[in-house]
Amino acid sequence: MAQTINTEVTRVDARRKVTGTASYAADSIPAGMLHGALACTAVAMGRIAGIDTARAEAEPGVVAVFTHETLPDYKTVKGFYAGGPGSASFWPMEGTEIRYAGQPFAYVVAETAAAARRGADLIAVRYEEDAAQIHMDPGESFIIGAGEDSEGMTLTKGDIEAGLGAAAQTVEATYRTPFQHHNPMEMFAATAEWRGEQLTVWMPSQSVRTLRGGIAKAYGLPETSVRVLSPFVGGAFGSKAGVTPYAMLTIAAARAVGAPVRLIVTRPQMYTVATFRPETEQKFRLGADADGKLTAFEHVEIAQTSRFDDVVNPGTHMTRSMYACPNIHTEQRLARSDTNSGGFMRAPNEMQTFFGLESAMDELAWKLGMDPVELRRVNDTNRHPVKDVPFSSRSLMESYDAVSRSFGWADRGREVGSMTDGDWLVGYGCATATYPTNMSPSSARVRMQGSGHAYVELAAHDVGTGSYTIFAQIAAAQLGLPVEAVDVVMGEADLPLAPIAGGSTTAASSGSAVHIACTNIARGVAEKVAAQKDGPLAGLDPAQITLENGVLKGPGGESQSLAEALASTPMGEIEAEGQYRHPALTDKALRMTYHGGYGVAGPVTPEMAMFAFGAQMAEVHVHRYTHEIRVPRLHGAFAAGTWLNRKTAHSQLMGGMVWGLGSALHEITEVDTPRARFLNANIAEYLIPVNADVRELRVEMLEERDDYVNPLGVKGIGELGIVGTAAAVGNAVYHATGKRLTAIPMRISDIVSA
Amino acid sequence: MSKRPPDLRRPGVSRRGFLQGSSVVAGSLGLAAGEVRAAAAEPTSDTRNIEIKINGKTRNMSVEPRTTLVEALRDTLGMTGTKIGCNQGQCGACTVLLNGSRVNSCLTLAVMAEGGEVVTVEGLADPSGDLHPMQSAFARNDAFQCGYCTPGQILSAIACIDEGHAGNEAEIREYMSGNLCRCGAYPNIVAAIVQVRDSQQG
Repeated sequence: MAQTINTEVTRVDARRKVTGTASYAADSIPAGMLHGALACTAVAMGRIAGIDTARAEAEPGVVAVFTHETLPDYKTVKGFYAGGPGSASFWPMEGTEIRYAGQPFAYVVAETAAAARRGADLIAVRYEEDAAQIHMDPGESFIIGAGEDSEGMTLTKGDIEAGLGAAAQTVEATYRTPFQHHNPMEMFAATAEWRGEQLTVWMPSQSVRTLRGGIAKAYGLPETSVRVLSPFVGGAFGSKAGVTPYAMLTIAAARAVGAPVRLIVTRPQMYTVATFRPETEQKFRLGADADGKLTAFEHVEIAQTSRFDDVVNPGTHMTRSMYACPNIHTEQRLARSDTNSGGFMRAPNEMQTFFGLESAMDELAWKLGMDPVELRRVNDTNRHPVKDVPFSSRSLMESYDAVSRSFGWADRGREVGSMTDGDWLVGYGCATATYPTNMSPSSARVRMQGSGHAYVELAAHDVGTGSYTIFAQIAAAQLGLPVEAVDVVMGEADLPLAPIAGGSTTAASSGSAVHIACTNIARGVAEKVAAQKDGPLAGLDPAQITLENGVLKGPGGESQSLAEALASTPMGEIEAEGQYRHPALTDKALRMTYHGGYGVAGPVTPEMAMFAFGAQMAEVHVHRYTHEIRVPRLHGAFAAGTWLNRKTAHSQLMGGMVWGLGSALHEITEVDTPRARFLNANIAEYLIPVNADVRELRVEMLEERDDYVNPLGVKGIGELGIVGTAAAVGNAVYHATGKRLTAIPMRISDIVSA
Repeated sequence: MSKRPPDLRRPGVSRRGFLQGSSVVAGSLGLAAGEVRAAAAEPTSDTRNIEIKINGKTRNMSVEPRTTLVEALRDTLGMTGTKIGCNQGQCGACTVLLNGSRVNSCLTLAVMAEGGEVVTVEGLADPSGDLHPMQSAFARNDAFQCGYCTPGQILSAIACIDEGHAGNEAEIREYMSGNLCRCGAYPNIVAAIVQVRDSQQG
């Protein structure tokens, strides 16, 4: 059997994706389906004073128009940050209250999508408008759950002022990051079909179990009465994890009209009906001795949140895990403004905080007159700076050394502005990437047939990450089958539990469950064949039979392939479940996961700190006269334990770096301050990198072994690639121009005004 | 009698250039405080019978004049291979070939395709199931992750070579910039197109 792990395996769903037969939520069209459309408020704060639906109702094709007064049986759930499954705690259309711009106030059902949209446009609404504020005021920030516990939102180790006082050089700087929206290519959609008290929901989801649990509880139905299907997800990045108002409105509307209803949320509405990355301010004070060793590390993050949720994504937990320092102080602060609740967007704790941290480290390196790579080397550590436990593996400097070689770091000019290419100022910059290894509990069921076919089933998700493929690879490697002989079924809530496809947990957590299920298959087959009269393994002690690459082996050299052994049994097939739980996972976290939440072990356990690391380098060209910023080269080297599939892992890291490039130069949800609303709510004016923006992009994947994180030695990589990119670009801009840009995205105007 | 629809191809226009001419603002958010929100023009609801050759097969359907080509494909004919990514002509996910040219099928009314020939992702593999070389190259090069923009990318990639805009990587990047990929598979998309271009020349 050919090795399948750590090789380049083409996606098992590639054929479906290139032929248009991969079925995304909105591609399922139940018989008699009607179309939904949302009408959303133009104002950000106040009350609905009146709604006139007469013209909408008269529109040909419109079946029904629902408002807060007329939609029966509309249910809501508790918000995620309040311990529930919902995308936010405040639910629209429960009353007249308006709390953010673009809040749904009516739901139209029609025979065609065009009629539904037209109906939504024909609704007349009157508002009583109150003043609203969309930007946070950092001066009004507060700490939730304040305490001196290092798990909490503040941490003090040593004496920060003494550390600053003892420093040879200090840096005090504030960096800013904007509101950003996920903008997956697949628009938010939900299709609901009621048959009596049986409900089926097709919806792109990062957590089908969370969705099913939330819906069932809201309607008082047993979970067996609710099917949630999400076989293919057209990108998510954190935007499709929760139970959203657009889903619950569609479910209620379908029940009210007595027919299946499908809603496709419009691209502009996607900016307000779900979550986003909140704007932040990152305040750093760093001190270092003459050799560059950190003597003081202070980081205060202030992040925007809504009036009704404490959206806390603790980035300071990540930055304080990075470099050795005896004196550390961090604060995780929030400041409220009038928006829907934000949430998690790819590397929700890391992207913005590492833009700050790695920019500040670069400033420190320049002040010290040190090579920025050497500054990282001096402060590298094999023990967690706060918890003082060892890192289970940490290949930070191996990553820097690898990327330095591929990029040609040694060839850079040592002075600011020392490299040019015609009218372009050239700069090189570097930055650290890291992402925590979060281990969630997971289950998987594997059924194997003696004919040499296997089925892997679990309620996990492939949001484009390649999960279908890696689970097939893991099973194929163990069961001794070709990858094509393994069918993976996912994206259904009825299947064995798998975690939310978030926090880069799926490959490591659910992959471990698949691995354990296959081990249990082998044990079951060994017991059967050992008890049989004939066969190479007959009569052996089953406990002494081991599985190696799909072959069962006895203690005396006896051997038989697993498939042959299985075929020799009367049933000829076997099914086994695997349940994975990291030894450090608490019962509380286990319970949370099984009740639709997000429970993990790590990244810091009582014994170890589990993180993946990488290093990124950017070459930036800034035009001498126009100040345009271009990134002709972006290199990254990463180490994250075992690479399950070198092809899909490469794509994930590359895609992460493209996101990082977007954060550096393009992405910002612009704000209309007086009207308190998002302005560029479409995918043309909200810039994301296009093909022409991405030039040379190189990803190097280093070998790393980690026996602590999980049985496969895998660390999650879905988010690692975005971390550090923006700082690497900004640091290169400084090298090219001598201008320190402290906010992203970095634009021509910032170069002019810096 | 076949009526040739207007040529919707915009040769030589990059995404950014195109967007300068089509500033689109969220319609539902354009009103001042207290304003009554209601559209003015009266709609029409008559339907037209049209005939379009789709993937070599003549299809007759009855559509409203306002029905877009992508909604006719997906909702009227049940051909869901073509995806909607924005419905505003901004992302290219809905790209199909209309009379050999790539068009955003969300910005094309179905009646505009009357008498024309449309190729969608469902029409690329040959009847025996063998993939089109561009489909194979996308699979081999991992030129996607979530796969949602892929049908549009593949049709755009085929047209990119046919138009003669695949001379070098920089040109491919420019002429593929109307098709957004949020997963960031761009370098692999370019690699796939280069491979197909080279195999066609060789």
